[in-house]
Amino acid sequence: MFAHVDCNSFYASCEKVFRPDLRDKAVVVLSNNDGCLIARSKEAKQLGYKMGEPYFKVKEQLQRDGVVVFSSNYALYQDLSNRVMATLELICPDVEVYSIDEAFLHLKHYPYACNDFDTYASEVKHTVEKHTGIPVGVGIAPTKTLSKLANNWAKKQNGLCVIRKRSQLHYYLENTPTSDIWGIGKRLTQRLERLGITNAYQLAYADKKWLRKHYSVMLERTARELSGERCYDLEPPPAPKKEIVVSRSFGKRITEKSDLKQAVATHVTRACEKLRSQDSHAKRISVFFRTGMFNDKEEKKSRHASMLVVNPTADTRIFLKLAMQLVEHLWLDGFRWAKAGVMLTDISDNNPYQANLFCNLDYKNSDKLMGVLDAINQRYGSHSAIIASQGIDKPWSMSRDMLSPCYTTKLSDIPVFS
Amino acid sequence: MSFKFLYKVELKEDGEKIYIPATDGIVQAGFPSPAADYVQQNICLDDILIKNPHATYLGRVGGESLRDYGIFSGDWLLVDRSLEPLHDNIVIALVDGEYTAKQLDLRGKRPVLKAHNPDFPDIHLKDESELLIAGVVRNSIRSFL
Repeated sequence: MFAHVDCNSFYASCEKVFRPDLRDKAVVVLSNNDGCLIARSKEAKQLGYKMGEPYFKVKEQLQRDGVVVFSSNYALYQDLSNRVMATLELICPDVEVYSIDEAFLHLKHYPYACNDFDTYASEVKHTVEKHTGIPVGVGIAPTKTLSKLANNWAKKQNGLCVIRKRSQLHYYLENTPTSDIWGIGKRLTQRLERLGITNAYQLAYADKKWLRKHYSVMLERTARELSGERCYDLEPPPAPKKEIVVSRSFGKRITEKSDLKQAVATHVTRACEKLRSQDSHAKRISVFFRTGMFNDKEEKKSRHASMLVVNPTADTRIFLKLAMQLVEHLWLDGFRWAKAGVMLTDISDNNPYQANLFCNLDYKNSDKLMGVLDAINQRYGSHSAIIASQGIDKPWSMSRDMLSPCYTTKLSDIPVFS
Repeated sequence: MSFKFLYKVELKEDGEKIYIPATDGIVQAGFPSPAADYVQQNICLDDILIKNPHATYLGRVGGESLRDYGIFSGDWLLVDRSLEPLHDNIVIALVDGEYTAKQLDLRGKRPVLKAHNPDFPDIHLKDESELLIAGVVRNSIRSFL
């Protein structure tokens, strides 16, 4: 049996954990640069706000409805996500973190026939909610695809749904439209509809060989999983990334080279932090920046180039130097740049022996220094200690006007109790 | 002892620069420390103070209502959400849309959130359903400097 655990309106729920005054209030969270709605609390959904709606279009409506609006606070969301996943690992040893707000559990230690999965599901739900403050839904079923389907149904009831018996399976499959099945997108839904397959039951009992021949082996597996035959196991945790990309749109357009350098320097710093956090070194750095893509009145331009170091490194200072050279090399006057990014590639594991043998005298204690830098920023909040080229005031930085405090990751932001 | 190479920047035809940082080889000599085999883990305050790290939140006291119990404004609080609140526990409770630290009294018919300061009244709840606890305070920490 598999369990699928899904946090309800995750970002909105995170914003509520430390704000009991918002418990029953409608809350929405905006994307980077306060662009559009990316999370809605249950109350905001009931008011009819749609996912992805541009903020400027509904700004006044939100005000009239008294909806509380937040810029996205990923430091908070990632910390609470880690807490949810760690709590799940306390309950069940086999956890696959599927996304920031979803996980699969493999309940292989619980024999199929003789256990009380209803109690188990409710225990998972209540433990996570109590320990972390994040409400979740739990679906339990014999396969991953079915557990996800069960969780869709859980949302419509009390947050719990267990599919075990044949008769239950039949009912849920018949009442699930194909568009709600894991891994079936809009176009596939339409193609299947032309064949008369409109619900999960019809797909589960369609001719599997025919599905594989005319569609894909993936669709065949989905159909098998729906019929209760296990095709997917938990995915192992992902290997360290082979490339690290940090890119952002600017809060407002950039026309000065010095501003662009600051922005790129900030991205380099972040990319190197990511590199070090997975214990890797990189050899190649690429820098890219471009103008806006959708304004017809503006000339469009995109620039990119990369440089290579001989010995893999994770030292921010080395990559900063190269990145600044690249910006100098690529800069063109007269454009209004809208977005910039940095990419680190040719990534290898940090092998201390190899690294120490050929390191620059100036960068001899690189790993130690970078470790201290990371520790300071972790402890006192990011950007507490910076390399000066990142700049102090950042006219280009992302607009996040309604950012909540980092309650769990920044000492100055921790909650105060009267 | 160390020896140093120079560095050079090459410009390839497609505009891509190759950067070769100055390198040293450093040869280390000498015997390893005889104490190295006896190194033990440092004592870690987290291990003493925190039982369930993923359910523990750090908070700070912002009032004097528990003064006579020895909890002062500015003290750090380690709040464990995984614990079941028991009689006499210091808890973080939800009162009028705000979190407040009080001592839980479950002896009577109705729960009471006790203050420990004559200037602050105890909070008498109507019934169990009014008792909303966000977590149990496991420790308070005060800095003297």
